[in-house]
Amino acid sequence: MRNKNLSFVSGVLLVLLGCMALMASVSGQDKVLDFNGEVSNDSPTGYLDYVEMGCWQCHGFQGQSTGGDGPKLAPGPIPYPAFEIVVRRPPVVMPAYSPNVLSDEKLRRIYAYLQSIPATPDVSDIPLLSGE
Amino acid sequence: MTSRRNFLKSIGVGAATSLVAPTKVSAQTAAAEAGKSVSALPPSHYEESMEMGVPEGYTEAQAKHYFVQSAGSDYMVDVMKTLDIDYVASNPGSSFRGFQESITVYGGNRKPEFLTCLHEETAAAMSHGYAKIAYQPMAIACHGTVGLQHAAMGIYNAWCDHAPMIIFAGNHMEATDRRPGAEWSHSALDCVKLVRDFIKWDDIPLSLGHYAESLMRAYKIATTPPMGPVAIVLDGHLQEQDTHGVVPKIPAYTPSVPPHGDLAALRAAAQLLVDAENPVILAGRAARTPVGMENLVELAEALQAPVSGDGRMNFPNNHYLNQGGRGLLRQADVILGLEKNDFWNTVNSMRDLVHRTSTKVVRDDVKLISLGSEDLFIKSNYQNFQRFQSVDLSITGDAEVSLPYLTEEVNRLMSRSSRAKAKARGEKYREQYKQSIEQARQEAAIGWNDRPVSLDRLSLEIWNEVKGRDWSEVSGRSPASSRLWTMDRHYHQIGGSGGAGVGYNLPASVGAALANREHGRFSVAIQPDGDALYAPGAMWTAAHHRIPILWVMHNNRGYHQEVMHLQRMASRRQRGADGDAKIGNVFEDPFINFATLAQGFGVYSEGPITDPDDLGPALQRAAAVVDGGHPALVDVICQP
Repeated sequence: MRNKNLSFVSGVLLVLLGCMALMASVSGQDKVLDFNGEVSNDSPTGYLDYVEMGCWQCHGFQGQSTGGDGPKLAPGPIPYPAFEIVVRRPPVVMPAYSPNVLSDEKLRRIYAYLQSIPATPDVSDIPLLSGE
Repeated sequence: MTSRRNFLKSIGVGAATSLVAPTKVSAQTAAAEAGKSVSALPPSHYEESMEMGVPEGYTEAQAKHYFVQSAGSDYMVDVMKTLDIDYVASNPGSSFRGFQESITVYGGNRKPEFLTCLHEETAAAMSHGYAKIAYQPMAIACHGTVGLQHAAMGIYNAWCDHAPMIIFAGNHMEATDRRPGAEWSHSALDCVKLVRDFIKWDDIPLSLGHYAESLMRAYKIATTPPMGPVAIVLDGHLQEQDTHGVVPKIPAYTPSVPPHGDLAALRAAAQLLVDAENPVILAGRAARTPVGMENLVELAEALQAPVSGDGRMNFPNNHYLNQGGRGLLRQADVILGLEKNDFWNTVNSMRDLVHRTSTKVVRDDVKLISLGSEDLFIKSNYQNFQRFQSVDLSITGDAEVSLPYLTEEVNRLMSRSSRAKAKARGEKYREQYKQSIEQARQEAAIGWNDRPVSLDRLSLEIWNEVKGRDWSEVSGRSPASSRLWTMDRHYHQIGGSGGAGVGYNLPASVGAALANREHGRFSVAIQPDGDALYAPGAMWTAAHHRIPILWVMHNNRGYHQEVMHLQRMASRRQRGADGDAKIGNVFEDPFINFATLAQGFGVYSEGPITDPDDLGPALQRAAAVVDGGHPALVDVICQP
């Protein structure tokens, strides 16, 4: 059985290594489009955490939901206390993310990213949606 | 016994027919009317040459040593022709070489036409997709051993999805007659045993007369709801034996009338629905054909009851009674489930936690009615059913043919007050429908310009390209923002694989597109990347047989569902998966270039497209290729 503390340390190291690798790839060019989507030097706060934790798998890169079980998160996320409860002790299908794998600090950054997502574009500006 | 030249005269009542359901007026009448007669074909060049006797330069003894006058497999093909089987999809194999030659040479490669497949799973999935558009089965032919093993996954999906399929499996029973080598390793005592758990019936004919009767029986079993695959073993010796032109009479074929539910039980169901304040209809594999869809619309309108579907085209999505969501179920006092094998899943919710718990999502006093043929379709080993759901009324019968009787009872029982109640319900659902369209539009706008391309953007760019055509979405997946498409034809969506066996979409889309080709329809498939990699050779089959279809790759570069499963496991175990969740689940280093892959199979392609603004023009160019009668693929890097 894997030692819990060792596991935690390894996890943190992996996160750090992952971040370093991601940032290294970002520094090489303005925008990178890989499995983890599009990242850039000016990605908003918390975006890398959102991507790295895989939130986008169910909720989309803009928190718009990808259908299925992942509900829409943004724009206009639910208040932080409710958000934290859903992440730590989810009442529905979402897995529980404890502070051991998702720190409070990181969770706040992810929330900040969701808050930064601009309001839904006006559909009248999008011909395919406005019916023009 | 009759000679081959006279055999067609001996055919009794007409041939097999399409699987379009009996009309709402009279199932029996429609079944009788649906019978078609087959005209006799003139003798082929091969037939004439062999019946001229001993070839020049040979003695009679030499001719008997080297040549056959009339092959057993010719008769096998003649029997197929009486059933109007249009196609045999196959990856060729020596265990059915005689059969193949009889199809292509003796039979003129027409009705049935031999479709060249690069893998038996492709053949099976093509047959599966074809049946859902053509409403009649496509045959497949494969080695009884190595071929059937390849085909097994495709057959399993068809079984789960209630799709008819005629499987011909080549085998050599007579051991002293086998050639050394492959005819031994490609023979088995009971080759169909491998797939018997997920087919409806099979037989090993030992004579041509036995073959004819068994194929008729097999076809009847496959196409009688609940439908499914059947298998006939083609013995090598039987295929290659010389009949000397003397063959058994071909039995007449009459399609079976599908079984409908008990009329008294349907009357009781109608009473419950009419008395309900908030009746809800849940449609599983309810509408097998366009008639089924019309029947369901009539029932829903009679009750003004909302209908929630399962991905198959049961109900037009531009109808205000097309509704969904858990809220619908929470308020329901009577729920009618049509051909649902997942009733429990629908009225309960299970949480994927360490200790799995479930909760009801319906009222405690809700009345549940089940109408369908699922109870007739259960086997023990492969459990294509879900948890047992207790219901208040369980009616066994084909939903599609039972619906007219149910609607008639509903209309008869509707009083003035129940009609007024129904009218008020209808007004409420009209308003909710309008709101759902507006909400779908708003939600689709989020991430509109994202890279990777959002699924809503992908979906609506495709819709923009196909909406002016007579189109058919053949991927088996419901597009994102499908609320914003107009889906009101049965062929607008063919439903999923049934068994969730990955690898179905690409070849099934080719089979469905082949069936659409006869109607001049534009076939489009939103093709998942992982699925496309199981049997990508299906692209070549489409190119080779000039099957027009537009594949738009939903290329998210991995098995995202599996990524999420790993994340769930790692979170549960307090480890956090982070980058590790990609291991085993992601196609990177290198990325897979589907446009190049398609080109290699002779398919026009574009991509990979990463900028959503490039998508519309690329789709337009590819659609022009499809309009010209060829397949085309547009690879798009998408969000999961």
